[in-house]
Amino acid sequence: MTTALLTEFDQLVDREWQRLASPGTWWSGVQRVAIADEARRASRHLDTAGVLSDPATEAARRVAVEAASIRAVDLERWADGGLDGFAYVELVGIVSRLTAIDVASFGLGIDERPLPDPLPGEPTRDKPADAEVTTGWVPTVGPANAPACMSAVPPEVDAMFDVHGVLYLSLEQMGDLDIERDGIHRTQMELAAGRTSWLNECFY
Amino acid sequence: MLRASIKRIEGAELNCRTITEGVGNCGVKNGDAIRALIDATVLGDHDEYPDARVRAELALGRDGADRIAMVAGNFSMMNRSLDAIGAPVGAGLNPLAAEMGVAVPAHLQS
Repeated sequence: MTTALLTEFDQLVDREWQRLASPGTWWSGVQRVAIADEARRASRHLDTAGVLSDPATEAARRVAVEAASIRAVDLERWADGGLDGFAYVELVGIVSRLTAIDVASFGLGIDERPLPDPLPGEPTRDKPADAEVTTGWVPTVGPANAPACMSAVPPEVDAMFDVHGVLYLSLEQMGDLDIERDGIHRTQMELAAGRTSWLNECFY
Repeated sequence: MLRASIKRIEGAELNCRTITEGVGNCGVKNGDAIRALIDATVLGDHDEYPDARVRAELALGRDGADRIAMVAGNFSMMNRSLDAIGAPVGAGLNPLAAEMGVAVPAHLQS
């Protein structure tokens, strides 16, 4: 039986799959879907598909299943192998949102949707003039924090907040400490957030 | 945010240590059912999921259980995004980390 909430989730996956299949800022549609495929393979303990470069393959797999183990030295090694910092940010966005969709799907009791067929076209290679490495390991516009973590690649920011708003809260709702969604009080959502972060070995 | 939001509920007190230890009364209504569903969902645990899901639906309703699953998805995204780009953890969180029985890794300290 479907519900309004499941319909909203399904529509989110439709939008995310459209984004995933389309050319991005630094990767083509073929490459974006290949990054997602590599992330899913890692989460299922399957071998690499061998489609991407070695740095991109390792980065996609590490972000998917052991992001907490990544260090600055890994990014330097991947950059030496040709994985640019801006392209890495887009890769992180692709893998992180795929994980959001797949984890939520499991918890909702629905099957993972097969990855989309890539769409043709070239990446835009647009780079914000004010993006630079500040407090994190990658370029950001301003300090490297939650709202700005994808800011070197603006379409990835929009995509992240689309997912964030459907699965959790919109930016406007974040300031409401009494908010309820679907009968779940903010306190209960924050318990879920804290426990999830603990299981992911994340300290934010 | 958990501490700030629980202060809005009269008489409620948060026991942070239960978030990391996974047992005990955390002070949040239906906290055990929420924690069990989060554990099964985030870990992709096919054995634990059916019971955790039923327990969550009984406590929270179907939409409530769905919302908890979706929050797990959202924070699995945010955790990866922040860890992968080396976003520093503010020193102001150190007391909370100590209360939870954890230490912020050196590579993330600001």
